[in-house]
Amino acid sequence: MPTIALGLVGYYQFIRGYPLGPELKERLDRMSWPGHQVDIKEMNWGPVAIVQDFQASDITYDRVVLVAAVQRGGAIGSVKCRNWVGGELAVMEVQNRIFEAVTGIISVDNLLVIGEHFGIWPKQLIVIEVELPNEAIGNLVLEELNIDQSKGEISAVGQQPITPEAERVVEEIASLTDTAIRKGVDGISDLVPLSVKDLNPLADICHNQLINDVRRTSAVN
Amino acid sequence: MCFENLPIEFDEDGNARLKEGVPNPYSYTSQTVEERDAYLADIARKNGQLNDVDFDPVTRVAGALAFHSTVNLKDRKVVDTASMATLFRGYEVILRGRDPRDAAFISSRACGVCGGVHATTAALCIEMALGIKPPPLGIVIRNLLLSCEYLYDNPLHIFILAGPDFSETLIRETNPEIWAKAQKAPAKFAKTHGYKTIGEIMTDLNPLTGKLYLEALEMTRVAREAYVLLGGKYPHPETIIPGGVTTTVTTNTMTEFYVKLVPFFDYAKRCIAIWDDIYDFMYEANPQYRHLGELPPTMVDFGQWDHEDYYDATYENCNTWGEKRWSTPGSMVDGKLVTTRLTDLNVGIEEFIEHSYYEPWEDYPFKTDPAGNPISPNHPWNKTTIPRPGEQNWKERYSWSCTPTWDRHTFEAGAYARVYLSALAQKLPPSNYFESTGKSLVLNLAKDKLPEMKAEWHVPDIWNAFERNRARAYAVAFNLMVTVENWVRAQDLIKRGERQVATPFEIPKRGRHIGAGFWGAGRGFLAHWCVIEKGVLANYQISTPSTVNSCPRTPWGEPGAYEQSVLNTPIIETNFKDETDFKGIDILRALRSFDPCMPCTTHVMVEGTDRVVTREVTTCACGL
Repeated sequence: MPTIALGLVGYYQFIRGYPLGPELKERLDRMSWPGHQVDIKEMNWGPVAIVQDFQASDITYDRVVLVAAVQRGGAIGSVKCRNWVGGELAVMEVQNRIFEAVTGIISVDNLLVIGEHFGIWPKQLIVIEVELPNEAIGNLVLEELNIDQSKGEISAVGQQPITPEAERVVEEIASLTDTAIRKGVDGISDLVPLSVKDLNPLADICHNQLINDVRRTSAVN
Repeated sequence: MCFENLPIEFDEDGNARLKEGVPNPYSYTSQTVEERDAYLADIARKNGQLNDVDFDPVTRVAGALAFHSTVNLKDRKVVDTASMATLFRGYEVILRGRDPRDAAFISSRACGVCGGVHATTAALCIEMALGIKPPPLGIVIRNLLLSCEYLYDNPLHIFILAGPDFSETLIRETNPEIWAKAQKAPAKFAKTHGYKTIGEIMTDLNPLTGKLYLEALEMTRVAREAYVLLGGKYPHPETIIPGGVTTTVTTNTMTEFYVKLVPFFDYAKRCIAIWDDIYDFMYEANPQYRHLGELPPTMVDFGQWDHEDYYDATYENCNTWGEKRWSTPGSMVDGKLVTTRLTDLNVGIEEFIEHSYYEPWEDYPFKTDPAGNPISPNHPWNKTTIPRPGEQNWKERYSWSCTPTWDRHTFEAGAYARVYLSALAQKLPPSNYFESTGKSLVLNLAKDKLPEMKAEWHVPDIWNAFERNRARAYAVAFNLMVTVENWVRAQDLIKRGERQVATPFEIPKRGRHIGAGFWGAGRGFLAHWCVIEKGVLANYQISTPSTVNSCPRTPWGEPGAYEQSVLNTPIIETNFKDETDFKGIDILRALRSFDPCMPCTTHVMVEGTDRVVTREVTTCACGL
């Protein structure tokens, strides 16, 4: 029976204000894959911790499917299935991603690179990428509250309802996830390779402006 | 005499009051944009290269911290710096209006490295506000969690974050002449760490492949495994609440916990030996390194790890229980210890927003602290967080970090501050495992495979990047021995039949209550301040060590710690021809010596609107 890890990267199950996270998790929880052992893993940790979790596990996965939101310049709400093909990176380029990883930053790009370096990925790693808008927080991130200061009472009014567009995106993600789990790379049409060259580059922590380089600009800044 | 700049004096009982006859006691003079322009123009004239200065704006450079430096390669000097926290996350806004019991869990999400420290600080803050005294075993278990956490945090920094800057890979590339010396230089402490030469150490510091690097990753995992026995999970422990912890403590748990600690006895000895060797060598190789990241030692720390016989959560007694902590609170200005009283530290704190993306606030509800000591309109109890996003402009506003000061000094925070202040103050409670001498901190490390060792951290004659890192290496041993001290205490309490780990409490629906959590993080100074009105959080303020270190300039133009230390840093890098291959390794070493952890202070960036945008770097970097 194929053993598959389904990782949600960037999902935080307690924050209902996000339009997709909790809905997606609930949708995936309702799915089943007979003939496959599927572990749904929350991967909202620094990638080094995830690597160590994989290293400590007795399970050797045949396939990993990651569902992650990205910003690669695609249309908002677009969902793309990609096949991780790895690639070579210089030592310091990997180390730069580890700088971020160990300080708690959650990033599917860092996870891919660091996982690759430490050899935790099986031959098949499919990434389902979702382009989300910048604004993804609901009412102060958490449930809408009704605060009655005169009585000192707080009650939860409810959760942000999911919009029809977000529902469509959830269904599309669920459908692609289902295919990725059941059929793997061979069963997905229009699979786009994802290599280290396609990842969002990290910017330097420190920008050094050399005095010879100073130029005039039109506005005083 | 405690304060040099704030107009506060003390009576014979040690109570603070504003000096009489001082109009507008908390006023200050801000440096104007014109003055800033004139300063920059002066730099340009002195360099003889430009008639006026108009720097390219720096757009968002990194995910959280953007640091800009202007470097004169010919003179090998840094001439201007700006430290920018580029994201806004708004925990202070999120917590307004919430149930106080949420504070520990929500604020914990401020950081994916040290979620436990925020949870604990929030718990202490609510304890003080509502008068909740944890039982002794709850206090000791909390200490175990928060000392064990640093066994993960500090080795992570010295080997994974800062270590690569001293590896063969980097040194060979930036300063091949130093690498040549390192290969032949004998290691003085070879008996402890096993390396014959400095070069061998540097090879094993290589990122990704070096043995020391990989060992550190493994040891951080061991520390986390110990932590979760008591904390439930890491990061973001489940068991820290106001009033104590929710851990079920058994003899088995304590035994398993201790078993995880044992490898650290020898590891701590080796940390000290390795980094003493590396930094002593670097000084010998080039004495200019003594000035890398140099600052006069001005630090504030609230201390940490309460003594269960003294901590009662009250502000009234905080000076007593504060000075009985297993690391001593204090402030130090230019190397001189000023005070170890928590009330003095609290009274001297102000936060300024002139160079930050916040609106000024008008309210001044608290003229004094609960003990009647005067506090500033800029004190966190009086501060309201009002985000004001805008374009980056380092002559005006350029950071989402505000500027904390103590007695109007910018200051540093760090694990090294715990070591330094505890060493100076000579107020540590009696322990078999450590002792403060006034000039040093002595650490008694037990035998494991290596023999027992008495390690002694000495107050250095110069304070710079290497001494910050060195003190952090000693802090690994200090953290460990505090953990052992509290493990023994926990065992004694359990033997005496103590089982209660938390004090039940109710949230009062009426009245106004204020509290503060004076605590620390892996990177030092951490405090939360709260105001609870009619059962909900009316105000909540968080000041983190990275806020302290990465802050922008004060209104009167004094640079923050990062900014000033880099300004003082000489360019020692030799292996470059021109700007195209200049790496800036010395600037990076200076910055990294502070252990910058920008997720702690970063916020979600707003682009030209008033909406809060999701770039939460610890919970969801990608908005799913």
